Amino acid sequence: MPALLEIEDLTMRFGSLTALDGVSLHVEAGEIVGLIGPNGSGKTTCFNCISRFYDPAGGQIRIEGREMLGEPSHRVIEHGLARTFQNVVLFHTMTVMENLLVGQHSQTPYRALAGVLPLPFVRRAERDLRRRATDVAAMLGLDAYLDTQVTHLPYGLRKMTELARALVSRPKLMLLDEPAAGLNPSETEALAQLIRRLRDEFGVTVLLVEHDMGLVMGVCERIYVLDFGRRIAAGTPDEVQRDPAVIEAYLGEPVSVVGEQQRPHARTRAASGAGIGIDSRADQPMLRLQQVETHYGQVQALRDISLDVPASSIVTLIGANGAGKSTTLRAISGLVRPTHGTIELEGRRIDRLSPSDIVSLGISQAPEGRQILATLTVAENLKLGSYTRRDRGSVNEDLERVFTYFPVLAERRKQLGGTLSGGEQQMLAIARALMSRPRLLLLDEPSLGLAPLYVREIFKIIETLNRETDTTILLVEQNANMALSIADYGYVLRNGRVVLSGTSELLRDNEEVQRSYLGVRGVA
Amino acid sequence: MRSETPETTGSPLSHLTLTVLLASRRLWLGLLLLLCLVLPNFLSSYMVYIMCLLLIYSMVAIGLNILMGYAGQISVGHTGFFAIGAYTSAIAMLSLALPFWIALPLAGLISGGIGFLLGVPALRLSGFYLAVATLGFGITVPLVILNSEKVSGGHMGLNPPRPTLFGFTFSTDLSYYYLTFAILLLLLAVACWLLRTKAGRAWVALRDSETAAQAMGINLAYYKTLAFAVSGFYTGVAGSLNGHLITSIHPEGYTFTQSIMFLTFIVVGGMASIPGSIMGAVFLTVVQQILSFGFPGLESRFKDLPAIMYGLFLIVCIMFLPGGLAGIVEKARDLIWHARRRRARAEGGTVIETTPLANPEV
Repeated sequence: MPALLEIEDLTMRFGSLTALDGVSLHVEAGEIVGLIGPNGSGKTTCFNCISRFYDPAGGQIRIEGREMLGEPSHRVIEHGLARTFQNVVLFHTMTVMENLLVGQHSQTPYRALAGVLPLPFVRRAERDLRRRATDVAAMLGLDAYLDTQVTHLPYGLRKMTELARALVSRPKLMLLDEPAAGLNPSETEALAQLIRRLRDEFGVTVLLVEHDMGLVMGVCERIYVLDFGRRIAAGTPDEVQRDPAVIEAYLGEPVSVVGEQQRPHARTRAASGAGIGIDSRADQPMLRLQQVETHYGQVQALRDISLDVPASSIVTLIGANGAGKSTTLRAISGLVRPTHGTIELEGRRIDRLSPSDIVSLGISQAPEGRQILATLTVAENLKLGSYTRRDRGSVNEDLERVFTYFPVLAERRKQLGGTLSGGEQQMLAIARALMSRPRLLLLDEPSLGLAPLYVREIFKIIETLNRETDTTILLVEQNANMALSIADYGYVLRNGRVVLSGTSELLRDNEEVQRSYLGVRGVA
Repeated sequence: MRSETPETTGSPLSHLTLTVLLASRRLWLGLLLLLCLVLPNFLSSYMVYIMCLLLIYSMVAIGLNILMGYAGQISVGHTGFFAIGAYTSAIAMLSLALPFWIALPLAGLISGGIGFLLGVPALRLSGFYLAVATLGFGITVPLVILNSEKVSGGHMGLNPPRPTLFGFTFSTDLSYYYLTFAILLLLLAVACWLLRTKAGRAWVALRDSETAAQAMGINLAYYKTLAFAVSGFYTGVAGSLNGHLITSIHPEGYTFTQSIMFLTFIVVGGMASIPGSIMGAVFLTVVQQILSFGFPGLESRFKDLPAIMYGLFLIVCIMFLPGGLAGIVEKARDLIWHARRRRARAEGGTVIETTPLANPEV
């Protein structure tokens, strides 16, 4: 008897980037299996290969022994495989009922054109589809909302509708892509029970991509761990949690890029008591966030963020995916309006200003995913960064100054942004942010998707920038150990809250940091 | 459709009025049907002719709305299908001596078949690019007809006869009106059924999200081309009926402006709404007639008056009335519904919470 899902040696490339590199895994009928890994490690890519949205460069995917790679994506569901999407993709103009009817498209027993007449077998089939939809909706607590358009549902119910839509097709295997994202702890607990019910009551096997480690460790029987497209570990939750390779993948390699003695100013400030923490509020910091909350629609992203960034320091925000790190930066740079709380730059409130006004006050952000302009040259990309400035003459001066920090970019100043490697693009994004002569630089995941060599180089540059130009830096990083090795202070975020803060030395040895990444078994 | 829950309280009169306004959709439809059947008997021949046009344009609007409103594929070349339908049934009757009851479905099928072929590029194109491709289609078809003189008569055009069924010739505009009306009712019923079952759901699904639609097992290639085919069928049948109504067709009659007129029907009437399609076609045709009759000097001074009018209505609707006329009706119904609920609550009656956001069924 072949396994329900077998993946062998799966390889997927996007241009020069290898997103999946020889990944093998198998899921037996009746299991709940987790697929985890840091951001950009290839989990969703793996799902998209299984659903046949991507054509892998090599390898095999089999469901119950049948080869899937020859199948078009719309045939996959006929083999008993249903999925949900990372950001909830519903048919938004439809009601819950209609979504659940479309979910049964592959089970609808008549040809599309038979619907031109009210033939008896069409009517009977439609009645059966509606009954099935009503039954599944009742089981998931959606029966009161069957005739509600899905855009009018709160986020949690939309996620539930998506699950129901996958479930109505009577799948053997369900792929769930981050089902807990955006859910609060009690909703996540309910989700954990629901996933177990899927298996126990409906006989559905579950393969789950998830960043909420509490959920993964709580419901999965086996876990596969990916990093940079490679499978680095597999085993029970306990085995995976203890695996040094997994800890390193999540927290980064425990190597400091710069020696302790190279950060004298940070050390003295820490020693003089102007550090961070609730008790040091007397000293006015460069940036201060107080009880900041934000929402994306009805999803609360930040629940209570209070933090200080002292002038001339490097402060890092660390925490697992979805903890609220990037949202905090977006709130500071004005891209997301806080729904509660205040943000002050040197005592002046900035949380009601427009993003461009915030930039002209000296705050500049290098966004996650870099977002450089592919069809402009390196030099043109950089000049865009000085857009808010009026002093044209010194822009060229700054260009040269930026190039001294990034010699690679100087060599490539005429090259198009899109032709740079990932690491060079990241450098360009940081360099562009510097062009507005910021006093506070916000860096969002500068190590994302980069090879370790580049990560080290970029961190070295960040450190040098801070030391030589006195630029204050707020750094969001998944690679916690790397970030703490150059930062003066760190804040650990979880579920939109600051759960831990302190000098980087203190945080580096703290077990709680590790727990906030890898979770604790049984706590959802 | 929302389910109405009768309240026990409230003054009997207001309760009755509101019930009539809301719950008796059937009554309204019945009255409308009666009006459509009786009214033409009291109108001049020209007015009946205009009413025939309303019916024919309604068919086009339904067909185009299936493609654009429901399946989300754009077409600015539907005049091409209108021409194909007209010429197919004209040639079938004049050159092949086929009876009308074969020529009419043939016009729909040929037009639908060509729609299917036009749908093939739509698998790779979307948005602007698809618009340009369909624009090319709408411009090419009349040119091909013009240059196929042997079958189409070229510049001279053709004179499709008024149809004969079971020995009865629909030579008067009034009799032709009833024939067209019967066919519209049939096409209307078919559209409603189709949209309420597998095909209609698949179209809306792929319009909302192609990715999720595929994951549900919807074959995008099949359903996109099917939408073009069905849309082509409706427009082809309408084109055929139009040819037999005006009994004189020329390639020059099928212009880009006509394609834009069709597009304006559904934007003004309401995207993804069957009643909206009909409202749009009726409203614009009536407005145009009022303009040309009420202000006789206007049309001679502005030759492109209709085109200007369509442009104006398009802009106004896209900016201020995204739901079109159907959207206004929907909003009015919601207002009445809320007013009724408020009153029931104020009078202490119990209101069963049904959602005001119920979907329009068709």
